[in-house]
Amino acid sequence: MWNWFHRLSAPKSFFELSGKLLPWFAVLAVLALGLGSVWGLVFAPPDYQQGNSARIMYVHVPASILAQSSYMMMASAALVFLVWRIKLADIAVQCVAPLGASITFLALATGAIWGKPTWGTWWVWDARLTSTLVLFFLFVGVIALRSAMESREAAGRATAVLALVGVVNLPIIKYSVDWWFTLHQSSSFSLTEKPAMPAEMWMPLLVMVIGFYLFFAVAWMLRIRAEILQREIRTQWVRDLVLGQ
Amino acid sequence: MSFSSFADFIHMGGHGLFVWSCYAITLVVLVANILRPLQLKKKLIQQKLRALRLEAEQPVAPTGE
Repeated sequence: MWNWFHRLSAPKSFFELSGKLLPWFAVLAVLALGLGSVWGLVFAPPDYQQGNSARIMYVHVPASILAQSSYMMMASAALVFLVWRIKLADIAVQCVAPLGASITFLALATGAIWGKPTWGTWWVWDARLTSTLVLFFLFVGVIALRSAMESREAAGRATAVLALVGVVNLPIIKYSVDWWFTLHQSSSFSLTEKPAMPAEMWMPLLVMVIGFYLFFAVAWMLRIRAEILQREIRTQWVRDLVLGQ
Repeated sequence: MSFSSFADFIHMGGHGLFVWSCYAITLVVLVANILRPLQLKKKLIQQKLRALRLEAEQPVAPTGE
């Protein structure tokens, strides 16, 4: 088990394995996102209160869920790097930060656009929105901290620590709708309870959530592969790879 | 299907601008996140190829680093 894990965590092995997995994930991601979008935009019923603006849900909710998950994954990779010094984990932290920042931006932007027709305002400084904005700045902070430091080793450790400290923000986002008075509605999905919305709405939403996760897997792998090439550009296997193209 | 015509679908009951701009931003963010690393990978491979070709043209061993 350990042996296998160690071999996989070698950048070269990851490069080869991800190369085999990528086409499958990419096809599934396109299928899920295509199916979910058409289902949500065309076939799902309009909301009885919000009308057709509720269709924004099919991109806003998956983006928001993914934004938080990607932070969790960044923090997990950071922990692995700090404890076991696995190079691949440091690469994973570095590569998920811009991805997480852009997904969090997407959650904030679609939320603002949805807020206008629903609440009558683009933005309110309430707990859910503010803590999500903090999440965005945490991702940006990780990117900025890394680019500000000269030594890769020191930058890796510093960003890993920052990523771990920022985890305190995650429960704040999750419970903000219960702890404070807020305009934002409470969770659409939970693992333990049946969704409050009808099946014609939560089924396309679930397909979109799955599609966003698949997209995330593809985008993360692509970034990690490019970063591996960059870091290992002087090695024999990259030389062989380039010449074999 | 919850729309009676294509114009209805575009109009989204008056919320068309909000709905479509959300989907447009989503598309841009997702596609950009796929294209960026692909471009970087292509650039790295081209740089490496150029370096290897230069190396092949100059048979003199580099004098240390």
